[in-house]
Order: sequence, then structure tokens, then C-alpha cells
Amino acid sequence: MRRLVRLYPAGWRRRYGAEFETVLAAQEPSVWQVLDVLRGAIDAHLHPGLWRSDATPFTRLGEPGRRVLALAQDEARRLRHDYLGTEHLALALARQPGGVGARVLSALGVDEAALRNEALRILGQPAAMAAGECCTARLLSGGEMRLMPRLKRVLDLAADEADGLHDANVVDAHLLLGLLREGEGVGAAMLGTLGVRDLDVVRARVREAVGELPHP
Amino acid sequence: MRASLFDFGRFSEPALLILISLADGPKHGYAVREDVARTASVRLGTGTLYGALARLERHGLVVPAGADERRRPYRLTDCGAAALRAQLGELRDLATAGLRRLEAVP
Repeated sequence: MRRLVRLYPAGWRRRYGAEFETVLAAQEPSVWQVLDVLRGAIDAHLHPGLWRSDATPFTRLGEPGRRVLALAQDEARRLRHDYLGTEHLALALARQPGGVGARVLSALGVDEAALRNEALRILGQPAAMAAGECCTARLLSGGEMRLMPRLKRVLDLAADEADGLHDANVVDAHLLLGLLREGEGVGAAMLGTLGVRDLDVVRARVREAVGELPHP
Repeated sequence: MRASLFDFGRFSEPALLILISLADGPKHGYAVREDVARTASVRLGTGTLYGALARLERHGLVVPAGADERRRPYRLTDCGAAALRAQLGELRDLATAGLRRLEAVP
């Protein structure tokens, strides 16, 4: 049964393979199961958009980086924005529990609440959300969220930071450094108002925080 | 019937069942399947489960909520909770209309 996962595209397996195997292994093998996995694998091949990140900056995102971007999307929806920008990334970094980004920010005296206040001050209060309204239009149209150019630039700079630290994957710490280096977006402005603007200071903090991790 | 909030083709019903399963807290894939089997008496194949989960994640209705790759929990986003609430409301209205008609038949 376990070998069935090989029917899926390699990129899909990198994302879902481990948990998929766990669920598969817990199941009684049957013809019905095999056919279901077969149909799932065909679906994954037919719809690479479901698991593949098209933009190049995404392909290097490691697991913590992906989680932060998912949180950033969540933030954008909360604020009823139809785009993904640096402000959402800044909020997401602070919100990621146990993440290097959140720990560095908290060491510098910045927490989620302070950043949220800053975001609301700069952007204004979000309109009240009607039940079910937040995502209806987007889901029916099947569209994706627009990535703001500044956020794309942040992702590029984060990849550059990962190179500088000799990390293969771009994780949340690199995204934080990317935000600061970009320097002109709302996200950088939020951090700057709260006293986080010196790149070298933050880079040193990131090194410390990464050094404390059990898996370097 | 009105267009559903999320139209995922053959994955629409599994997606709805997964959202319901996550409504009372994060669960990993295996726990979702057990929960759906218990509460909705629907057997989700692994291929169907992950086809639906990938769509929900891509649309920001659920997010992975842990680092354990083999038993990765998923949780509803605010958007996912709102979509679920709206979808269940529509189903309730439909059920109410159907039952009312049955009762009206002498």
C-alpha cells in the first residue's frame, strides 16, 4: 500500500508524502482504496497548481516559511484585503508560535498586539465582516490572491539572506530579514515605528536564535 | 440550489466534511478520517482526503498547524469557519424547505 504514494508527483510528495503514508498505512488495504489513491494521483498530476508554487521565490520556502505565508494570507483575509502585502507578512511573523521570527521580534520588544495596532493605525480599521462574505467571491471565481510587488521583492531578499547564512531553505527568520532589507513597504514601516530597523542587530539576533535551535 | 461556497467538483462533499471535522479543533489527516467516519458515516479514501485537503489549503480555508510531518494537524482559518457557517446555513434552509413541503402533503 505504502508504495502507492510513488504514483504522485515528486513535488506533491515533498509536501504531503509523509502524512499521506501515515494515513494510508492505518487503513485496511482494499481494491477500493487502491482505486481511490489512483484517482487522487491522477488528480494531483492534472492540477499541479494545487501543490506547486509557481513563483520562483516560493520554491525555496521551507516548512516554517510556508506556514508564515499561509498565516499572512489569513491576515490579509481578516483585514478584508484582496492582496498579499508586506504588512500581512509582518503580522504573520509575530503570530507564528515558537518561530524564530516571533522569538527575535519578542527579544526586541515587539509582539503581535503591538504590530496589529501599528497595522490598524497605518491602514485604518477593517470593515466589519459579514458572515460568509469574506471569501465567497474569491472562492467562486477561483482566483488567487495578488502578490504585491514589494512582497515579491521581500521574498527575493529573503532567499538572498538564506544564501548568506548558507541555508538551503528560506524560513521565517530570512523573511524577517527580507522585510527589513526591503525597507519601504508597510511591513517595514510597522517594524520601524516599533524600533526594529537596524538590519545588523536583527541579523545577529537571528544567528543567536537559530543557534539555540535543536536542529541547525 | 444556489452555487456552493466552494466548488471543488467531486471534492466538494469531502471538503465540507473535513471542515466540519475541524470545527471543534485541529486534527491530523488520520483523525479527520476517523471523525468523518463516526459523525457522517462516510468513508474517505486517502486519495480523496488529500485531494480535498490540498484544495482547502490552497484556498486558505485550512492551514497546517504543526511541524510534525507524519501527523500534521490542520486547523480552520477565520475564512474557513465563515465559509463553513454559510454553507451549513444554506443546507439547513434547504432541509427546512423540504421538510415543510412533506408536512404540507395531506
